[in-house]
Amino acid sequence: MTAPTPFDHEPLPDLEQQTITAAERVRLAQLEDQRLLGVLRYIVPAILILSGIAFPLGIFSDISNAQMNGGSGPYLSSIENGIVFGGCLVSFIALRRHRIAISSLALFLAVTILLYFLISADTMFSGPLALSTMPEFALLLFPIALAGLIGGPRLIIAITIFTPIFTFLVLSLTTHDAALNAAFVSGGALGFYIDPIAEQIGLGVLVYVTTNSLRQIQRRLNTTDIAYRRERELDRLKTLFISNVNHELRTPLMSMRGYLVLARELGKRQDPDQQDYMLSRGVETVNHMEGIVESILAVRRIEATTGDIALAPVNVRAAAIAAIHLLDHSMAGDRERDVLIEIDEALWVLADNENLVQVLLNLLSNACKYSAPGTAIEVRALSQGTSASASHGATPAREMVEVAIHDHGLGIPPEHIPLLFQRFMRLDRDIASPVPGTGLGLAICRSYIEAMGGKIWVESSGISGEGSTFAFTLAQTQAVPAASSATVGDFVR
Amino acid sequence: MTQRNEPGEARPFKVLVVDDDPHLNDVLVASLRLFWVFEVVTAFEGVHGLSLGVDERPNAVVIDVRMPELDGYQLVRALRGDPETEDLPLIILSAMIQDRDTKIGMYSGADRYLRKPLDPYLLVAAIREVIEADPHQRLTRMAALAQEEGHEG
Repeated sequence: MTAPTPFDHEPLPDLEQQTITAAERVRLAQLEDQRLLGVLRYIVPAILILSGIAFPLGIFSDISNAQMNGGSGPYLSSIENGIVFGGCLVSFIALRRHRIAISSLALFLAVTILLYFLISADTMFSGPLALSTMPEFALLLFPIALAGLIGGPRLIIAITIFTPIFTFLVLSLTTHDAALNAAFVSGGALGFYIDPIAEQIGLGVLVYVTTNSLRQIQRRLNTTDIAYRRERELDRLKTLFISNVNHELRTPLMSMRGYLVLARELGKRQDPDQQDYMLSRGVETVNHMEGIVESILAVRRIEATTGDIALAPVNVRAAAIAAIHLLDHSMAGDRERDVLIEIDEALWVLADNENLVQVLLNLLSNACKYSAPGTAIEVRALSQGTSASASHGATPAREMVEVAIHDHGLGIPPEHIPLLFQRFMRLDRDIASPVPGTGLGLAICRSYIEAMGGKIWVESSGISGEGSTFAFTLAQTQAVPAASSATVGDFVR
Repeated sequence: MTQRNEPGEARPFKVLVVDDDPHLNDVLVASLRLFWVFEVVTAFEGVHGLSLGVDERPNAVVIDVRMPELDGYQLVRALRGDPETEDLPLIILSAMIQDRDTKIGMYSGADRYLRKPLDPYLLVAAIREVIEADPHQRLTRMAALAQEEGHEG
């Protein structure tokens, strides 16, 4: 089986598929806002200034027109300039307050409404459609271009569809003046439709395609930005890890030296009982140190290829019991608590026995470390039914077994959950606490489970006392004959 | 108050050990009792260490740095800041071994900054030294440190 290893994918994480933390989501939104800001900060003031100049001129021209006509004119120019000036003003104020979405919407609406109003006024409200107004249809290209600059693909598609329909309706439903009629009759009718509509659709497609490719590049850049930040964070965590390990090795090293010096001294003083006590305490310290050294070595192991793991049927219950057995050993038995196992003896999974036991051990020891002494820990396993796993295209869908370990401890704040399975990840509250750890246990679990073709995740409300549930899946398989299952039994001892 | 004693003379000194590691606490208690006649009281975290520092009137305090709640530096500052305990000989014993850490420890007001791992004999020797030291030495040292800090700042 050549399962993909977790670390040999393309160098950049695919953010669509990976879980993105809340902070990263904010960052991505900021990057998009920055792009829009870059566009808007030039367009909005420019149009605001232009319409600011045009607005009073429009009013002035309307008034003088009305005086010349001797009545009250329609004041179209004032309305048109008023719309664009008002919209741009709203857009400008929103931009100053960093309300990017409002700013771009106001700008788009101002420009679009102005142009449609302008064309409607010139074509429908002021007599028959004149040949001389035909070039005005070119103005309808502006909203399409603007949608490309500040809108999304849906806006571009919508405006590209709407504009030709509008053009077609105006050309078809209005009465035409003599010159336009003559032009239509002389055989140019089709051209009058095709020219503006083809321009509009052509520009729409062009804008859509260009924007799309720019968007892809932008997304790639944003992904790189997030990946770079993650890498930097990993580096920081690595440094922290080294200082943690340094700290956690020095203290037991001193205890060990102390116990040895004391044992030697007590030997000189002929006190074998006390000497024996010191030596056995020394051995405990060595065990503790071994655990720390083991986890340092795991950094290398986790980075090595896990693709060549040999999978064989493993009994889930036996593996859980083996892990609990090892746990009692390593936790020095100073915390009495119930570990409830609800696992059907007939459940077998396709796994590497040692890796599975290690995963269970890591999860169980976490559950012990992060929940109050005396509270129970529950280990459950259930056949999950068929899972249609798309990543294993050729392999038929298999039954999966879900194993869950639940504690009643502190829980995990939701914002930390996406990063929890990363190497060197330790919650700030743990770094400050006496709970020992290297931030590798869960990363090892993820690496092992994924190499065995499964998934691992955590569910926690972050409310103290409600605890957390760490769960993983592995492919279910048939039991092996009793003879070979003895190896599992051996492991339990 | 600082007590003095002749070398080799067994006197019932009381030492307070504040360290969150149970094994190391155990070792320190056993070594101090075995190698020199010390009465030892222990605390596993800073806040308890502070209250024992005031209540038990130890002759010296050995303090770890990384502890929950109140860390070693804060404990040293708290003990130095309290008129009841300002003259207490304080030793920091820490796995944080960078010069920066030593500096912070000394600025906090510790008399010695010892790095783990350390031979118990050396710790005993250091405790004897700080107990026997003239309190004026601390004042001159602190003044020198303050001056140094002033130059740097």
